Amino acid sequence: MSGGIVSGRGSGGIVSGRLWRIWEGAISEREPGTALALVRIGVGLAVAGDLAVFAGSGGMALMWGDTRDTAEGFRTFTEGGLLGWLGGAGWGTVQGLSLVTGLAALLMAAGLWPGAMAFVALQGCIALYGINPMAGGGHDRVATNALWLLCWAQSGQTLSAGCRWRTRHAPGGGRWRDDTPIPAWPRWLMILQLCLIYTMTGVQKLSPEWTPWGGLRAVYNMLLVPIWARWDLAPWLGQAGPLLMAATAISLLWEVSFGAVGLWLVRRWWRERHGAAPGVQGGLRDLRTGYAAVGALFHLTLWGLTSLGPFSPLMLALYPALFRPQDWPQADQGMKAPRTMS
Amino acid sequence: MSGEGAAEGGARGGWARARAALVLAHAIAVCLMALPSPEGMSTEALAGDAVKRSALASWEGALARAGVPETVSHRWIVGIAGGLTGLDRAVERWLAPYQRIAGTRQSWQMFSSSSANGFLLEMYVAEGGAEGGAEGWRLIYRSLDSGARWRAGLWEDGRVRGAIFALSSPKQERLWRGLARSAARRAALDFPAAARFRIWRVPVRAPAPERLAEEGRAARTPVGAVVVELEALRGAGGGAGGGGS
Repeated sequence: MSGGIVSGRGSGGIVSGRLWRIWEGAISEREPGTALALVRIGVGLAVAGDLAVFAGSGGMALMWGDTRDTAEGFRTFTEGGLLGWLGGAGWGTVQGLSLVTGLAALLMAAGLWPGAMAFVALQGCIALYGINPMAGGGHDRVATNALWLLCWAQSGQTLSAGCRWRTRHAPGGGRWRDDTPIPAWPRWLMILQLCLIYTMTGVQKLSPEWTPWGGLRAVYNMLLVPIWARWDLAPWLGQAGPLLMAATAISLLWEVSFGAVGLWLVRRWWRERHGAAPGVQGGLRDLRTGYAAVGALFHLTLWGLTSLGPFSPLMLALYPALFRPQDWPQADQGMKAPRTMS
Repeated sequence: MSGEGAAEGGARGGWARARAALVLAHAIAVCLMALPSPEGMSTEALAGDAVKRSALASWEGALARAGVPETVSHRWIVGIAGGLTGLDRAVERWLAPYQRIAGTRQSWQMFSSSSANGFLLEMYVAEGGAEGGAEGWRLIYRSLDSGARWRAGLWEDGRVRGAIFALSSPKQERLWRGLARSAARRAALDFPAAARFRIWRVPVRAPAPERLAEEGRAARTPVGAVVVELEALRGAGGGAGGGGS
């Protein structure tokens, strides 16, 4: 779908609609796998790190331990899904499944059987996150959606131990990098997922604190009210009122309009293959870099000032999907996009 | 092209079409599943939810200033919410298996409300058999308090915080008591001389930024107080629930 590294092939099949042929060609496109490899590494480390931190703080025993099995729990759980199949949500089973899930996520990050390990980690995460939904949140859905796409992404093609092993007999020994193209569609689905997450979370911020007539106090409240705040910032927040109002407005507008990044990428893709649409003039200003920079600032600030579990690291782990290798400043000239790109 | 080659090409073409169809199905499914589901916006539900009523009133007020009568805007908002909720239920019915197996659930209602109301979590122990008067209790943990940090890493873990916030709802009274007993079991181990453990939430409200310096977080009367006798927990080897009061 992107890059023009390896062009898609026409369908020539029984389905003859032009749009369908374009879609089928787009789905057949391939590109170097660096972006998806970086997503794989980030998501694997975020999932494994979250489980390690949760276990290390004692939170796992408190939140996922059934009082029938461990004195550290606080409630009982009903059993279903994978845990039911494994014999129930006993504390030993939960610990074992957490260990297997964390190891699978680490192996995926390392690039050893990444598709299979993504599937193991995904099923483990679905089972574990489902034990006590009170201890979960949007970050759990970010993780499972990303893992599902990584099951199919061939993300171990490059920057992986698998790559190193596969190329061990090549001249010069094993390599960490291999630019053999992989299917591009999983990266596009990750971009769609990013756009959905941000746009939908933005349009649902309807409470008065997010609006000018409610005083744009959402960020101020979030940092002051001690539900999510990591630090006591009360001594400083009073002076930062205008700044926090601006932060509220910017973060809401940024979220609601994030879909524009996806549209910009689709438009660029179209131009690279079909030229400008009739009546469309002018160049393509790169919306993506600005949105990604604001997003990185937004997530790093949230990470530093609030306690929201693995939300920020997981979201940041998806950002490499926005960039093809040839978009990066140091990209090999041979991988640059076609000249049709403005 | 040989017959074998044509068959192989046909199979590849078939797979390419199937893959394109599956990717399209996934993309449509996640878009439909991600549509907002503003449940609880029916007239009956609104009657019992002051926060939603207040949010609705603020939007109706804003639309009224733009010239839309409140009766009309109310009908619009409730109508759109009802339509989206109905669509969400239909999508959920069809796509639940895909969500369950593939983890593709799409619900992105994150920080939709950033209320000025919250609470400080506080935990105390009473040592030396003192009766439960104010002088007998020693603060061991308080949210954001650098002087009372007992097992702060646990209570301030992101997932644990989320659960404690969920447990602050009056509907979760039974589970809140369960959490209190679980915390008391830990206190019984860490404070061998303590006779009782107490946990509660101190509601706070964020004042306007310009009044923060003089008012601070306006703390109110604690709620959700649970007191647990620790001796009973120690007697049961730390495994049994203590008596809450």
